[in-house]
Amino acid sequence: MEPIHIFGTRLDYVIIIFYFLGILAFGSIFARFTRSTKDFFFGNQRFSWWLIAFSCIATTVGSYSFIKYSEVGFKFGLSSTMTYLNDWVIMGFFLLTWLPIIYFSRVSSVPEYFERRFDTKTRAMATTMILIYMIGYIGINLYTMAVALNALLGVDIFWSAVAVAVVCSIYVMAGGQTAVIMTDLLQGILLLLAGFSLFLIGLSVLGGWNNFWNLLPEALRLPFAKFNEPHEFPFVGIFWQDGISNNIAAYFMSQGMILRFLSVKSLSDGRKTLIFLLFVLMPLAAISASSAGWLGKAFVEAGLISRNTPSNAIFVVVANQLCRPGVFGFIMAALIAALMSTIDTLINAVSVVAINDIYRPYIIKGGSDKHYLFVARIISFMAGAAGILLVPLFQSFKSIYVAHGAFIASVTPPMVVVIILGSLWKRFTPSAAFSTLLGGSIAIAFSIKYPILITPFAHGVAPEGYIFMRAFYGITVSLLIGVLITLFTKPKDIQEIRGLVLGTIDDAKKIFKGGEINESRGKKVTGWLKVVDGQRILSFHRIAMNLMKAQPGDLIYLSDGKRWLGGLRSIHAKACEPHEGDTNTILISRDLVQEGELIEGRRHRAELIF
Amino acid sequence: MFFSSHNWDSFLYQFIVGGLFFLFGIVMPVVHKDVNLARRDDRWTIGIIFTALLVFILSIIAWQLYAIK
Repeated sequence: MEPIHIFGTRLDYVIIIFYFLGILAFGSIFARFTRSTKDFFFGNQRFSWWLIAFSCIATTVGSYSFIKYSEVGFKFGLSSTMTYLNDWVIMGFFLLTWLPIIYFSRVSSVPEYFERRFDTKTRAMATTMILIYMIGYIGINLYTMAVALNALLGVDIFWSAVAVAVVCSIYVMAGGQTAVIMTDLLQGILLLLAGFSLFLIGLSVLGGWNNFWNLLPEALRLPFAKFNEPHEFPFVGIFWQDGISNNIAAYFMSQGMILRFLSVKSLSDGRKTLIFLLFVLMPLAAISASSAGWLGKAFVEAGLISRNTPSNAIFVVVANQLCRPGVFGFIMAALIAALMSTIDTLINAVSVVAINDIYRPYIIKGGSDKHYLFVARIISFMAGAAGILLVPLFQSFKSIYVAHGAFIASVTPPMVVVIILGSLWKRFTPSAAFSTLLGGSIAIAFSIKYPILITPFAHGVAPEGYIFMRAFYGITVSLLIGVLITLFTKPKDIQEIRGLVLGTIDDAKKIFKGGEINESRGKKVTGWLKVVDGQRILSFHRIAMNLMKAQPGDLIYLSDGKRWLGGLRSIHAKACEPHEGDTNTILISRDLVQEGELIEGRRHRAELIF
Repeated sequence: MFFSSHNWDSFLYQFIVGGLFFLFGIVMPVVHKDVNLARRDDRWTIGIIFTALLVFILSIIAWQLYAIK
């Protein structure tokens, strides 16, 4: 079939161009909030849960989501939402074990955790695997978006990828993690709105919900796919490949997602972020990304589009059917938003790993923070360029979906197992961790050469579907290697891994604070800043301290009174002895004001962290 | 036959096998005292997780029944 080209109106092009420029300007604004590598990488642990949750959804819904899930929705109906609705499975482990470990241990990257928990050798192996994973992901995202732009606008694939990569690299270079979070907040809202707009317009065209529902065959209305067939979309394959392996990789191993959670102002806000993300935003994103496919099926049944419409073009066809001038531009902007919000996160994440796991420990030790910040910005640009260079390579694959699935199932299982055993099992040894990464990868490579190895793990799925079941095979084999080697090797002393493993989270909190923790929960207080020159100070009136149930030396979070800023202007600092001045006055030193971009004379809110 | 007719087998696998993973992730930190139910924050977290999951499961059941009615 000839590619479908829908050339929008002038209005659509204007909207798309203004969107590009707007995001570029918006992201670059946040350069002023980025003064150190800590700001560049982590956004300085200051943001509110709602801001990070929307930012995460923009990252989760990748550039390929609208195209891919619409295709799945068209072929298999509402069960296309399965991949968005199975993240709860790993939620307890992430919220209660992994998040406190990474948040309080202040690890800057997963490989750094591997070094502290295991050894340098394991860190090096993990760094290599994660960089391959992330740069490959940048390339895949650039390519899939370029394919979509090519189909929709007729723009050359390679140059589409270049344009998107350049825009993302510029604002990540300028604003780092803060820019990523703030632009993704905007883009997350936009892409949800765009998907829902398309769905609502489609329902209206069909004459309402009942007509839409009745047009769908019963099998396509169900929330779950068939257990082990067809091989393209078997429930059990999706469960192991996506629900377990990919989810653990995405939340535990993906540097981009970890950086988001390291940007929240407190552990409590990190927990709220995930709960809101999984139970509210993910279901909305599932509908937003898939609904064009469901509408496409109903349109076919209603005779509005051809029964021979290829499933991989269904998003384009439905958008073409429904969009009017201006709306088309809006939908395209949402597609671009989905791409940019995934790419920017990956670019920033690559710079974190490259600086903290390669450049700082092995190339230039003891350099100034300004130097590392400069190099981080250069690496951000290089990461975008590396992604572009991979585009022609991915163009050579027969199917991007197959390449993507094979890539995930082949790379992630050993890392997933090492993260789980490393954080849950004190006895898990450095030798076992290294052997699991190496042996697990070799075992997976063998299964690609000899797929029969997967048969005992296949749950009845046909060999064509082994691409999904390879994840289950890889996890099982890696788990066996890890457990067996652990039983015959020596573990690290518990004192060396305090705060890095289950059962030592309270130690992690003490290390984070630099003293005993105060578990009391008082009230939030408000007051006006009074800047004092001289030594670093944050002092509240005695009454405010009592209301917060805070003691001198406790960690306080102070933020601008305007909640909609989401913590953009905020700071963590230890409370000093209370002052005896005005009850509503907060004494603060100039360096803290500058560090948190706080504004003197404005009302601020304070709360005890611990 | 009943289980596979409306993909109930997938439904059960998701919530039984997935539920075991989920419970393991909750129980382990409680047993190792990283989560202390005497603390208000931890109680709130556990409470909201289970409440949200219950609402989520009931919604999926309602969807399944609505789809096959």
